[in-house]
Amino acid sequence: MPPKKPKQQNIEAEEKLSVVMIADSFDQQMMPLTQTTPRCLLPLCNVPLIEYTFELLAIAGIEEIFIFCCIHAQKIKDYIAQSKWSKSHSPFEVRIIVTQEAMSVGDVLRELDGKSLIRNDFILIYGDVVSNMNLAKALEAHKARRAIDKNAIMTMVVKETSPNHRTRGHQEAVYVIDDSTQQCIHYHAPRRGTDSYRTVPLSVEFFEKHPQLQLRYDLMDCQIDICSVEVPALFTENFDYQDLRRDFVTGILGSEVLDSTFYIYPIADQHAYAARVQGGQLYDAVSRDVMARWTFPLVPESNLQEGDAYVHKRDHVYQEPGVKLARTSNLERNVVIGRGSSVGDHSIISNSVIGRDCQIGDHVTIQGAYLLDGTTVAAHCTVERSILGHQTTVHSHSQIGKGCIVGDGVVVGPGIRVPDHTRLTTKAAAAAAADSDWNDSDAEDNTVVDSSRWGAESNAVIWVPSDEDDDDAEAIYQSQVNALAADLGQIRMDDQDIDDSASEASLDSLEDMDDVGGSGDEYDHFGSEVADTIDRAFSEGHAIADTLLELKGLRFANNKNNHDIRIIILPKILDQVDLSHLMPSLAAAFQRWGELIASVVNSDQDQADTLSIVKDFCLVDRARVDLFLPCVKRLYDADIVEEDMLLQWHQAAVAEKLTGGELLLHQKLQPLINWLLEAEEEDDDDSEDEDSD
Amino acid sequence: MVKDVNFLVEDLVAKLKRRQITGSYTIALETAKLLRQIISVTRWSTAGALIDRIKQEGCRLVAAQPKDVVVANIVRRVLHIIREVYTENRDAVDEDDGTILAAAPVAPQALLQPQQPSFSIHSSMFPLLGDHADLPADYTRPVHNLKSEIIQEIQEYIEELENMYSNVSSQAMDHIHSNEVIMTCGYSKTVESFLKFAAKKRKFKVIVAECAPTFQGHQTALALTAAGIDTTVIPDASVFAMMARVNKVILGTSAILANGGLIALSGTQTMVEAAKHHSIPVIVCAGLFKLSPVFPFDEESLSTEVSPDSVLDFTKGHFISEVEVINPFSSYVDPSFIDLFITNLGGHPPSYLYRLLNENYDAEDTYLLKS
Repeated sequence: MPPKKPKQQNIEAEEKLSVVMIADSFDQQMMPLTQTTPRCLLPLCNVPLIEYTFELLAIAGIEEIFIFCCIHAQKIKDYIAQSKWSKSHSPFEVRIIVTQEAMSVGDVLRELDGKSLIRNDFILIYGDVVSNMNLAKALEAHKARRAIDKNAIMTMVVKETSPNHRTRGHQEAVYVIDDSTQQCIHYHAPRRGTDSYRTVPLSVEFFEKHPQLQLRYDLMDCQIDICSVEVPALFTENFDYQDLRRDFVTGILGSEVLDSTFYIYPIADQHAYAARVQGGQLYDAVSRDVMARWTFPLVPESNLQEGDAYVHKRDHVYQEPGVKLARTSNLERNVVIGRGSSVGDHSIISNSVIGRDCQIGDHVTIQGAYLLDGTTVAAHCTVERSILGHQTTVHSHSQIGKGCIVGDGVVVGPGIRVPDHTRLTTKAAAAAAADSDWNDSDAEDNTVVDSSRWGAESNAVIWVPSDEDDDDAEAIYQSQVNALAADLGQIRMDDQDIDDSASEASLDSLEDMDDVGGSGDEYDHFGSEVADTIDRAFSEGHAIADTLLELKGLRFANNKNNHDIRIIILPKILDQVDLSHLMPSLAAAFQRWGELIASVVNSDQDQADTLSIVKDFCLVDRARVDLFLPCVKRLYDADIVEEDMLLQWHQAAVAEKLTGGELLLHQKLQPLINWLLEAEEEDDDDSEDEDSD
Repeated sequence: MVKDVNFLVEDLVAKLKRRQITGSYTIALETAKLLRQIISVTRWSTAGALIDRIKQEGCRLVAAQPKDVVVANIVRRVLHIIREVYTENRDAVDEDDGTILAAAPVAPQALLQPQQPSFSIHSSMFPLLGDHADLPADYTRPVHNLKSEIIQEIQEYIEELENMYSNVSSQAMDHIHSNEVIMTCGYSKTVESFLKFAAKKRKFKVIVAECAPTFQGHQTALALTAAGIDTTVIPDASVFAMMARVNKVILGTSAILANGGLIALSGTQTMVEAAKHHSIPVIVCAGLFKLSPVFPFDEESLSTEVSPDSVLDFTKGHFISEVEVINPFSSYVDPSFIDLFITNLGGHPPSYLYRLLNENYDAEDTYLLKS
């Protein structure tokens, strides 16, 4: 036990210890469960996730918590109002700030800066972090560092794990660390599918300042950060930063203007545990860690919630009084089962959490599944590695495959097999979601198709992700399903198959992860962001300079080059051209956006690349063939493409054997080329004339 | 004022749950002080009301950490003190009941309750009925100075707790003789002070089992060498081998159960088994407050298991999802292995514990948490 007195004196000497807690996930990882409940209120081992976070903060001696809620703000407010944390004996003061419009961590921190609530170093944490670490020590470390290095703006809490650790999730960041000071020199977390995905670029400058560097892939991001007051201000300055790691840390570290430094705080020395429940796979992993007592003293029988009364029994079975177990039922190991639940004859449960008032029939097998309160699983059912929401019913002889997430109130069966990695929700919930969304046609279609698919008494439909502003929602949806599927089932299976040495094993599994994740999705994410930026610029009439700044921000944040920008913005701009009034609208488009194009085209290769992009754009549609020549002419006129480059590019292209559309386009280009060649000759003549004079 | 008490109770509950206060002695002291405060701060008219109140608050404390039997022991002890004080004072009143009855119309409500024996009418019969055993539920009569008497008694009890270490260790001379070899395991403040006291006059050797993975044995060894005692640290696996050359095993414990069993640091069981095999006497040093009237019906739920991190490194990736790691911190030890208990009242064989229980607790408080 740490000595208490000096700690209190520290607190008194300085200002209040504040925490900024973000009670929103900003993603759809746990959908459809998070349709009605925010992720931080989802029960983990039958205790809402936020309780674990609160407990961590209470032990650390925090005095003030600002909770930022976005979606489901009222539910979080209500929950906290009735919890022990808002009572007089609560160790800290809880202040809830609702920011409905915030869409990312960046938005929240800008809001925080706007309200200027924080005047001191603070801890940035999420409402779904489970940890038993000693935050006070991390804070002390941060403050000690601040005393030496005024530019130390952030300390990131990390935990050493192996790369394919179940609790690590799919964080793929490489930290470049100066081991002597724990300073994080470079944070490398590229999106999948980019050139830099497999390589970590190291600037020579790093070695000038730091004689020794460590590249570490074994650090698990605990998503607990100790930030100085500058952090929210920096978010306001860089209004396009969304993600704390990918945008902020990468951006600030890459900045040449700012000297701000980042540090890591490894908690392995503390023998502590910390993880954030970021999705289905981590929900599973953290639940198992809690049951295996890695989070001690935050274990079920600590009864974090008032009124709980779990008792720890052999083989990590945690049982509340008032559970009815049939004599022949078997709770094998790692089971949490809440009050009022009953288990029928010959049923086997292992590695699972059963909520309160769950009815489990005879001959049921439940393995690695999470049944929230009030679930009914009738006789002869099998549930594997899935999450069943509140009040769901699985009628007899049904099977729920691996990796399923079943929303609240869903009824399935009888005699149905739900395939692996299915996400089900109720018709009513789907309809409500569709109402709030503008496209309700998909959901209705599904309703019709699904009505008999999930059993005679079923009210289930497949959950369709709501796509707010992503063009390629399908791709994102696929990637998400794949991610979860991979998480709950696939990846783990791959890992189990590995029997080589440890180093080889980790490499193998990394490659597996690549394969599973696909390579295009993250790239598309960047693409959609750039496209959005352009669209906004069109619709809201942004100034070129603003748009350019935004694009630059995106480019740096995602580690992209100008090619990635060009390939998206050029088609967008050309799309603006009205083909029926080709010349005037093209002229208008170039007048308006020519400068933007010019600013992303620098080198000779860029020019050739630009021409190729325009060519590809015009190849897509026959109607666009006529666009090509005027467009290239405009590029030439605007000095975006130089004469020599144009000629070179054309000749290189013609030198290859062209077919179909391409040939046509180059033929179209011929007049321009001829004209250019003639002009050149004339120039030559002129010069010769001049010479001869 | 009620809010204050509530705040204090919740504070202690939270600290117990978060294990911010650990060590049975600290927990005992904190609990006793809190209960004293509740008694002095809250309003109550009769001993019965006070008992109910203490039971109610006690239950909250006990529920916070049911495995820590010490909290429940203190609550029981305080309840016992209240009853004792009440009975004594009531007897004092009864002896000259005539004057009291004449002096004040004592609590008419209490006297008029139908189920109460009507003392005023049958006053001549009262000495016969006055046998304590016949009046188990009668704590409703107001008694002079009850509050101050109770607080004084509890104060004495707290002092007894505070002097516990010296009271236990002062008996060391009777048990440790010159040139003996003593074996112990883990760390216990009681054992440490016991050995140090003996070391003032006698020379003896101590062998300490290190008790991995907590390595509390190292702590003991450091403390003992600082006091000039010849100390040897051994790995846990060597306990049996070393037992042959030992004269006595002296152990600490976190609780003593009604049958004489212990809830002690894991590693204790191995040591007492080895001692039994070699017929080495096992002595357990513990304050009386660790004595619990509860029987170990469910042995497996008595052991506390902590994070497996110190046994298996969390970084061992895919390994940890395939392996069950169990890291018990404390576990149950059967009474048949223990030869003598040394408490602050003296040495007692396990068979004598029932007397201590009767003297210190009331049978009706044995089960505080009724589920």
